[in-house]
Amino acid sequence: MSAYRVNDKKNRERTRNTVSYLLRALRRTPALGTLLVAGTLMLPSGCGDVLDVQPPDLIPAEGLAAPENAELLLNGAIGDFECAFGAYVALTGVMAHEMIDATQPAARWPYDRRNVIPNDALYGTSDCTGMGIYTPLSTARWSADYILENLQGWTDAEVPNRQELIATAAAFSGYAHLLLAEAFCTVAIDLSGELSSSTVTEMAIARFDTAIQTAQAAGATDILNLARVGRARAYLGLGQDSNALADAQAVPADFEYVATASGDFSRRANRVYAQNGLGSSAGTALSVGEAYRDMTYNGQPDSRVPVSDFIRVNTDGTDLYLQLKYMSLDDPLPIATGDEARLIVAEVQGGQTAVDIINDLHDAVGLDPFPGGSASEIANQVIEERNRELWLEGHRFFDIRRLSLPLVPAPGTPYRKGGTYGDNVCFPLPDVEVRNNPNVG
Amino acid sequence: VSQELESSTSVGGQFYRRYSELVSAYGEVWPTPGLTSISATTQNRSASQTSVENTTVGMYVQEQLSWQNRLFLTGAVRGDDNSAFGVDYDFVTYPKVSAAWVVTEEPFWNYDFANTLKLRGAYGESGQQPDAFVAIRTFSPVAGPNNVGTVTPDNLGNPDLGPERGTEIELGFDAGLFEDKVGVEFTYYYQKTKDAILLREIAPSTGFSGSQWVNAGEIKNSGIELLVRGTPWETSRHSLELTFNLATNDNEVLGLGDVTDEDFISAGTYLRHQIGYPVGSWFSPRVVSAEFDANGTAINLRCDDGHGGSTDCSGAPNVYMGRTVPSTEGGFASTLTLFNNIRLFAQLDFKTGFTKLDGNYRVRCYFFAECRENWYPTEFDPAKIAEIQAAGTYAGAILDDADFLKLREVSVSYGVPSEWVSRVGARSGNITVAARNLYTWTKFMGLEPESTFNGGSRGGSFSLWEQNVLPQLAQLVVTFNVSF
Repeated sequence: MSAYRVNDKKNRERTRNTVSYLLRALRRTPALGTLLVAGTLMLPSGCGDVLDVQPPDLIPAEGLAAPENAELLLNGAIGDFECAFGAYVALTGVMAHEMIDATQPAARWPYDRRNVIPNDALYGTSDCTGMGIYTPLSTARWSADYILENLQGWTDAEVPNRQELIATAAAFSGYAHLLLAEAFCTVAIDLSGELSSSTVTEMAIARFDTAIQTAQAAGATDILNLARVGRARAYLGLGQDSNALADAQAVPADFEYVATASGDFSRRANRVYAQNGLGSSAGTALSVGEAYRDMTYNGQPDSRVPVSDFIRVNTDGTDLYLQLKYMSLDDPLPIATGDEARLIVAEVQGGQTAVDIINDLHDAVGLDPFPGGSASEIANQVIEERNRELWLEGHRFFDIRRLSLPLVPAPGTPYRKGGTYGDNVCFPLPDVEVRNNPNVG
Repeated sequence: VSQELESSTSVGGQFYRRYSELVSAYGEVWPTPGLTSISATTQNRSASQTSVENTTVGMYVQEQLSWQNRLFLTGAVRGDDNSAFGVDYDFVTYPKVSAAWVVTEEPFWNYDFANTLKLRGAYGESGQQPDAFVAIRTFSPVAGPNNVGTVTPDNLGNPDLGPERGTEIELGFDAGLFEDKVGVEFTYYYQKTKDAILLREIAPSTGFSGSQWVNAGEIKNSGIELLVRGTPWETSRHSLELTFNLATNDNEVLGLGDVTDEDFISAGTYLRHQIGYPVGSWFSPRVVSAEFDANGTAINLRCDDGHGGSTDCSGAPNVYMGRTVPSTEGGFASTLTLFNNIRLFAQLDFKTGFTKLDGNYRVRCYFFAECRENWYPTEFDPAKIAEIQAAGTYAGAILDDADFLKLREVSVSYGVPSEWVSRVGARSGNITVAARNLYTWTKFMGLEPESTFNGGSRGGSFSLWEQNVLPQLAQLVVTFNVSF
């Protein structure tokens, strides 16, 4: 029998109940006897087996949450996150105008135009391949919490490397919470009421706390640093700068943790490249935002924002520019890096520390050094360095909200494909949650 | 049993297994002309395989009594178990009883205008099984990090899911009048469905997406079905046959069981199954009054408070905006036969009492600002403009009565003389020229009252949402049939 046999408990009960029913009927109605005998001969092994159906392309949850499936479920949670993360980077990139929409059908214009409404299906209910983010992130959050909770209930004897697995699950849960908090004006978790971004960020921090403690105990350095960057990002969002600084300073400069990608499966494809890139498997549904098409510093091209003019106008009239940061569907997307950690340090500390970090980053790509200046000039340059260094990595949308950066084009400006620009700096809680969550609304 | 009373007993069993499998392959770009197989494509090659299996084991026993061939009484009971029932649900039984009385067989019947009259009545219970696998919580296999095989949440499932149970009473008669020149069939039905299987959306914060099947309380359906047939003119070579049919439906959600603490469950955008209203009805706040400011922006909005008055729109309730299932439908058909081989046919259909959403108007006016209403708002009702300018909060401006009368078909058919078709060895031949969907009388604001686009969050099978779909096209069909 398969490890995923459907509802053995149900089938045993069915067999008992059905047989007892038939026997009662037989006693009351002798005419049924012939039929039952014939039926019994026809049925190979009773109704329980007859009704035992096997969905060959689905896996019943019953029995899946077992210690021997710990790695399977954890990989599932990571896969769900990677899927959601790709869509998150691409869609929030549009909202932040790192990229702009280049499609003729109007379904995605509200994202380009920053006036998304709660009953828009794309961001609310679409899967990650369709650029949805609320549902994929919620699934990733649930999957990570599900395996985390199970892992915490099992023992080290049952699950090899359990501490490291706990750390990994907690870190991915933390990131799923954090991205929900950053992108959405309010969030619901497990049918909760409407939670503020800061509340969900605190929930993310609690997961990162678990990840950091268990990763330290297990000696899982990569997960430890992933969780440190995540927690630093979360603290920064809450304005708890000293906590952010402490975590960010502990991360090595060359650290990088990525969401893997693959062109072999559509849900695993690098979503940015699938929407815009150079090559036959890249899409042209997006173009590069105007501000990023020719980024220079002191007249020098900034190679952290590599862009090519495709010298083509798409069917909707948008000039096509191609991002060259990701060059294939297989290119991984950075989730957390040492550069991000250093920029958090630069933002919190400012002054010469920030100038030194900026110049390290400039030196790495051959740009002139930043000479420094007043505190606000340095702070502004740090923001600009984040804009370039973390381009198309899923940071800019929340930076606009967190730092109250000006919206470009300004709200009210006519949108090139119809209507006017709005002022969304976060996604509203989608109607699909509001309508179906008894604790919301 | 006796010469006057006949009895017939039947028992039976049923094992029903439905299994369907779909295998598909996909690929793009053949490198050279002439290739036709999927395996010869060079990009985005993929394959999929899905299957659905559902098994039912059932048995029944039925007893039928007939007295003097004029009074019939039938009683039966059947039981089913199904593989799609939830873990916490088991075997179900359905009884039924029916009676029929052929009144015209009675000695006292002396009304010549009615040559046959049968009165009938029935009470029965029936069930609708859930679809396969919908009761169980499942994961689906997917590729995970570094393409390792792993799983992702798929179907939320419902361990309590069982069949919906319907109890129905039918009363009616079949009559043949004036030597069967007029026939009338009339049925009144009253049906109560308990544990109705309804699809409800899932809040994504549960970790699952899509929809969940639930046994949601009680639904009432009642109405009549009427069929009148007549042959007002009939000779040896010519005839005129007329048919009129009418069906009405009064539908109401009576309860929602314990699947929700509220008086409704959401069935999609603007759609609810709400107690006291028909299944799958439109609900939305509704602007009842507004004013324009100097820029043509609607201000001072007042909304329907749901009790006949108005309230500030900021906290306005969702109010009933119409049903999606027609309350009345029917048709009229006539067939004129001339010289035994020319047949003229015409058919009219109608549906009334339902409301449809114009999704094309929604995107044009709510979101893309491409309507006259967006640029010259003061030419319109400020309440309507208020709904448009709110871009999605209100559905009143995009919902409209979809009543229609449609000239469904006009055709002429000619039986080709046998001596003509015999030249090609055929026994008979017939040529028909038919024009379909010729004209629709409707006040519906959209393209066509019948075309719909059904999508998950748009309400699935309950949705009447017109967007990006073609209206039913007028067709001219010429058919030539030859029998050998």
